[in-house]
Amino acid sequence: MTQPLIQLQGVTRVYHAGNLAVPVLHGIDLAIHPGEYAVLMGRSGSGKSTLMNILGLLDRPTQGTYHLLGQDITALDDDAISALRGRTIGFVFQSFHLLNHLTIEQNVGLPMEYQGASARARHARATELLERVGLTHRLGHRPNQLSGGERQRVAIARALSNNPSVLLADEPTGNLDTAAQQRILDLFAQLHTQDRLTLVMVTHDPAIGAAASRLIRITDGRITS
Amino acid sequence: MSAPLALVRSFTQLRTNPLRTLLTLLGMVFGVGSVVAMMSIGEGAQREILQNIEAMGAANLHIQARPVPDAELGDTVNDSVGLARADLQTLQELVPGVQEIAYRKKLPLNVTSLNLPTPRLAPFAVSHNLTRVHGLPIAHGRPLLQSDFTFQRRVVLLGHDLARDAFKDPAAALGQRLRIEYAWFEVVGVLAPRTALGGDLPIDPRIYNDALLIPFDTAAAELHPPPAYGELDLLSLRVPTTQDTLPAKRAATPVLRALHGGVEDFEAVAPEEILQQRQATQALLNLVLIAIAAISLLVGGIGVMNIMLANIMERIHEIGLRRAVGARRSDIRNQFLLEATLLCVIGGLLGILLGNAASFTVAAIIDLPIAFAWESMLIAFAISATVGVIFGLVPALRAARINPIQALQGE
Ligand SMILES: Nc1ncnc2c1ncn2[C@@H]1O[C@H](COP(=O)(O)OP(=O)(O)O)[C@@H](O)[C@H]1O
Ligand SMILES: [Mg+2]
Repeated sequence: MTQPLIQLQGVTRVYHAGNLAVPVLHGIDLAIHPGEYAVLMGRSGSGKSTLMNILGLLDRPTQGTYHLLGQDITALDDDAISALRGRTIGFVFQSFHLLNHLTIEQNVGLPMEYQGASARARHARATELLERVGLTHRLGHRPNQLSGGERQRVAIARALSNNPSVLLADEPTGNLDTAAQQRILDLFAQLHTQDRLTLVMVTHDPAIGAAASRLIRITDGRITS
Repeated sequence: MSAPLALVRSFTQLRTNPLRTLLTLLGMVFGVGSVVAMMSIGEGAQREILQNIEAMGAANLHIQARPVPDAELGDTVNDSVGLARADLQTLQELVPGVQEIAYRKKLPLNVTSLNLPTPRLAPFAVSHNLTRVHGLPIAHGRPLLQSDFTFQRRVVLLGHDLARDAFKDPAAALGQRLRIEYAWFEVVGVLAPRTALGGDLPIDPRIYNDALLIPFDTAAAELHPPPAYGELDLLSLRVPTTQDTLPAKRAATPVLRALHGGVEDFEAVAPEEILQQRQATQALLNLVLIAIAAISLLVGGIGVMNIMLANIMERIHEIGLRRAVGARRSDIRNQFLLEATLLCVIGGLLGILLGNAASFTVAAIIDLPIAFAWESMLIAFAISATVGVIFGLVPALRAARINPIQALQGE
């Protein structure tokens, strides 16, 4: 058995609203192995996004441990976590989050800027990735000239630019029509089967869950299957 | 992120909203512009003072006759005969460092053969060395010679403007004869023009542009016998350097007072002293200008801070996204700090242009002396960068502290 890429043990997350403690995650134990395509399902408010934020190093567990690539992240300071996040995690958001004042190519290369990549390297990588998502002809355009589906493909290219260990997608097709949605899901499936990329995706749609190699159900902050 | 890339990205960001960028810049443009304009004008005033003092002979101590009120004149004349050639010998002996002494007396003038109004003319009876001591180059002809005095020759030197207006061409005045009161004089020389230098110094060199300079001895013999009181208006004591004018003044004052029977009917003016007074005035003015500049820059800086704070709210998603793709807090801080600084520096550069344009325009219109103050450009640049850092820091730190999850969700 390979070492898990992601290993959570007894992770809880408690929000504080005023002096009221709101526990959202209750003792999550979860291991995700390299090459897995995991789909996270659960009702709205069950804590999926909260868990994804912890997995993506945007948030820290209130209690419990998180090992990413065998490294205990609770021991890291903010700068080290940011650097690790940039190198190992790729995010795909429901609302794309592209920067309108940059070109498509620059948006794709953005994560590389924080890794000190040269302009030449960024250009080469962005070209390669935009070809991969079928948007080579859009290189110099701005995000607001693109359709929703195209934007999300740009966002996926961006998420891949630093060659991440895991791609985290929180309801990536929530803002898209069926055709665009299918294209994104095909892309994910391809990344999973061809590139052996590790994927964790949140979705409401049971049909989408079927394509995954693994289904994780979360109910009221607990993993139920 | 590398520094050049960060700079390019900041430019891109500022370009996305040019109108807002421009409006934000305005405070800085006017702040820095006023600093530069004021410094150019200040520098110009400073140079004018120096030129002026240079022109009247920076190494001269001038002793002017001080007019005595008519009521006191009766008493005064019992003790003093006013400034007179009799003073020269004693001053020469008792004031250390005096190399030579020139003198002059303004003459009354009723009629001349010149086709010019007499009030315009400035006739002086002068010592033979006056043109040398007051630094008046001879453009045509010759200076006054010792022999002109010895033989009381009826010769005259003309100022440039006077010669030009009376004889069409200054050079044509040479050898011409002209009548002053009832005697005929030959023009033996014409002075070089003295350029406009606004001045309230005892010797404004411009008065020589309309001068008739007549050997003192000739004037005494042929025109007006010297009055019993006030034979001379002005003595100029030549000393080695400007710095020697103040000691010379201290030495000359008691000597003259003694010679004049204790009557202070004279006034000694040292250029060094005027220079110091003017510089003190200028320093005070500079202080006021600095205060104005500081206020404008404060306003400009607050404008930049305000816009940067608004920027954070508008670009909250961008901040969250950047954090998500690996930006550290310090990267966010630097990004916003750089943008604010760039904004201020661009404003500063525009301000430098505006300030110079404004001061040169004003100078051209109201004939104010100004000078291109190179230091002011550097100072303005440094100031605008500093304002950017100071006023950019608060927004930058705030942007850096934002929680990435809230930023990504943020409205
Ligand atoms: N910053 C927060 N402060 C307080 N409560 C929060 C915060 N973020 C999320 N929650 C609460 O945590 C619960 C889970 O939220 P979330 O993880 O976004 O659910 P999901 O993504 O499954 O819909 C919700 O009840 C939500 O109201
Ligand atoms: Mg959610």
